[in-house]
Amino acid sequence: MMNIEGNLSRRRFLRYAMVGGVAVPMYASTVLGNDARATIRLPADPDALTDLERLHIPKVTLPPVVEDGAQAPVVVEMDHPMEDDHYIKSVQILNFDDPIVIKGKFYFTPVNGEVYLGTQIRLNGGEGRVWVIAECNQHGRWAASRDVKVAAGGC
Amino acid sequence: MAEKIKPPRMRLPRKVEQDGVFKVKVRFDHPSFTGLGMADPDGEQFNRATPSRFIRNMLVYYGDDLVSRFRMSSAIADDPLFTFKLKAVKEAPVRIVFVDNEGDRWESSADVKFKT
Repeated sequence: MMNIEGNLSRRRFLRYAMVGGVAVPMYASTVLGNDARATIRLPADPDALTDLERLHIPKVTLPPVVEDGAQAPVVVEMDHPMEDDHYIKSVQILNFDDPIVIKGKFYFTPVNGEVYLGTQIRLNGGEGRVWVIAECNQHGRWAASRDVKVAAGGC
Repeated sequence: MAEKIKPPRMRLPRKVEQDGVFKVKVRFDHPSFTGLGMADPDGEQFNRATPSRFIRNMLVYYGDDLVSRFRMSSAIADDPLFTFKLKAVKEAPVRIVFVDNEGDRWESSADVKFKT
């Protein structure tokens, strides 16, 4: 186990705090159930999504193999309604294997009509897992992930 | 890697159905440096080698309303192309404002017109 006492730089502290802030709720949501709004929910069975999961789990398009990690194309889509009282507030893209974990966060409003985001991100070389977290104003946060292999790192 | 920063270029359909959803594409030629370098020969650790430069915020206005915002890190690509959707609720300009981490600002706009 890594000893961080006495050797805890500001950057390392922030990194632990950031990773813990997402990883702990993810773990708690799978172990403790999906009742708390603050948790991040994952599909119980990815091959048999419930109606609620189908609405809230983001659909992530990312090539399984990326040649140039400086230009990894990612598209996030959702079938969720965008009504005044029920809509997706934000979509966040992360990769915990990279030196820069958070890629970006896109904030939506009902005027967007549909949740759709296409952009290009930097990924570190090697194998990693890109996470997308969508936040619904009524049903909390939901996550989906895609595994990716990056030939030439872009960070 | 882009050496020069060019004004953002936005593309949206010439005419859209009222209350229909249309796609907006905006490309911004802006460099993105993470500023990270390898701290050891094995390439397992990074350190801050040079100052970073990247697009920090993309703000989307439809008429006078701020309808979307994208907050980015230095892990966004060089010269990114952003695609997102809007609902055609009114005939008004869509204005996109980019702000980078040094506080510089660029914008682009285009009008939404309904099909008659």
